[in-house]
Amino acid sequence: MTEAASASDLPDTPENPTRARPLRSPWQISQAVWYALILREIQTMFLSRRFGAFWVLAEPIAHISVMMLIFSFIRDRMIPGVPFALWLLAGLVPFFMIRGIIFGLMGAVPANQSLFTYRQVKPFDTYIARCTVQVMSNAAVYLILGFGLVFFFQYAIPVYQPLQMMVSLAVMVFFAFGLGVIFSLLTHAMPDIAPVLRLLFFPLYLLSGVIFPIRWVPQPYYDWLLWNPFFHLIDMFRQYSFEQYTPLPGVNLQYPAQCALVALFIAALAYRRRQYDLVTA
Amino acid sequence: MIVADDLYKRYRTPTGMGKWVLQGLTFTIPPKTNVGIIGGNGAGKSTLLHILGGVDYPSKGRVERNCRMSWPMGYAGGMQGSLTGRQNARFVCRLHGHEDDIKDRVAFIEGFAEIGAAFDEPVRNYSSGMKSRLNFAMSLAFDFDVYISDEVTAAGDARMRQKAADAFKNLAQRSGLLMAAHSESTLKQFCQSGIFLNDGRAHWFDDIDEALKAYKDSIAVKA
Repeated sequence: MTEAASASDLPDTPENPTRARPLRSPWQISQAVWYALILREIQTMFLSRRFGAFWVLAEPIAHISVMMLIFSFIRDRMIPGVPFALWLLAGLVPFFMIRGIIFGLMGAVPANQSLFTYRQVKPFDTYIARCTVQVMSNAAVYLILGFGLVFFFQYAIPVYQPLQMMVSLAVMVFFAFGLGVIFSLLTHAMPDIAPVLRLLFFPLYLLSGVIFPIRWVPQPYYDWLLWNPFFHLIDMFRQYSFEQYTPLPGVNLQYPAQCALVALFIAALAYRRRQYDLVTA
Repeated sequence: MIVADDLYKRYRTPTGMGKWVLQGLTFTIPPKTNVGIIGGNGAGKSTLLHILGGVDYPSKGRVERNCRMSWPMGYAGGMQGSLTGRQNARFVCRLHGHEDDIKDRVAFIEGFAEIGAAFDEPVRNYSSGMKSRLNFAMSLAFDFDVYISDEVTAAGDARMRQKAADAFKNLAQRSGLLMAAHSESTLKQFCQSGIFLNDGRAHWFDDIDEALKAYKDSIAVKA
């Protein structure tokens, strides 16, 4: 046995004052867990493929740029008072963020199963970590693309009511978080429905007015589309972003906020009932 | 000190709730006590260890632990396959609130695990022996009041086993230990007291020899 690394070299010897660290409070533990998990999520995101760190930002940027190219040339000036590229950006990134949070949370428990060996890590912490990472990476994409458009194409800065923008983003994050927790619990109970839940997001992509303006949808179909809370969220975000934007009739922030509350309530209730089943696989 | 208060446990099975694995366990483990958990296969040793360690949950009853307790050592999980050994080690340091002296801890883990350059390779490429070395080194890097071990000393090659046993002896002297093992010599070597699990009930023995004797008697009765 080598002397270089024996148990007597433990960082904490009885003489070492660090040995007498007080027990951490639950809040301190949670903070440490979130920090560790967020870094871990970023690391696995970067390592999941070649040049992962590059693709995390480059993939959505490339996707959005292509969309903006196609749609700006074909159908420019379809949105009164707002450059189409910016209009698209203000819809695509929030939608990708919502989708990213929901899909991220759906996969959070299986991806972190091995870490539940540590008593400190609860499924809820993995939700928090994944949600934070999604918000951060989408915020980075939005800032980079927005800056690029404003700087190179001389568009006006797409910020009209910054506080309201933040509020609508917060509603999006809370709503997506609640749905993500519910979907995570559902897929844990019934793994078969995961692809169905994922498929739901394709029609939602079209029905939320992300790439096609809902402005031109005739009645009575327009009123039907108002049932979709994502439509409200994305349009409110645009309304707060552009000064010249004409608000759509019937769109508001209360309805999606109520949906978010209901989703969070159901999520909390279901999580409380199912949390121990998640940990013990 | 660990207090188990009326612990019941049963698992959900595809055909409804399973039978009770633990039925009404109540005991108190004083600080710095090394306890061996004895019982036949399926008696609930691992279940009890995981519940005491906070990794699993009792169906009824509760556990109070006013101390720093390790995660179950020798447990295959606890590492992210796509991350390197070093990244995993850093993760565990952060988890346990050692962001400030993370360098020392990781250096210790690297030194004790002795897996060389593999420390910077993804854990999924490790052999099971390397994994258990790393896992063991990680649990030694923190100062827990109580260590939980599920058949841990069996891991690795002869030299690593020796090293682990030495480290374990050192541990057993300065901290508490909760271990489940089948080997009588291992239990006698490390533990003073014993919990004998039989038919979902726990029997506490101040002396490990008596617990082993009770276990043997129960086998004799059945045979």
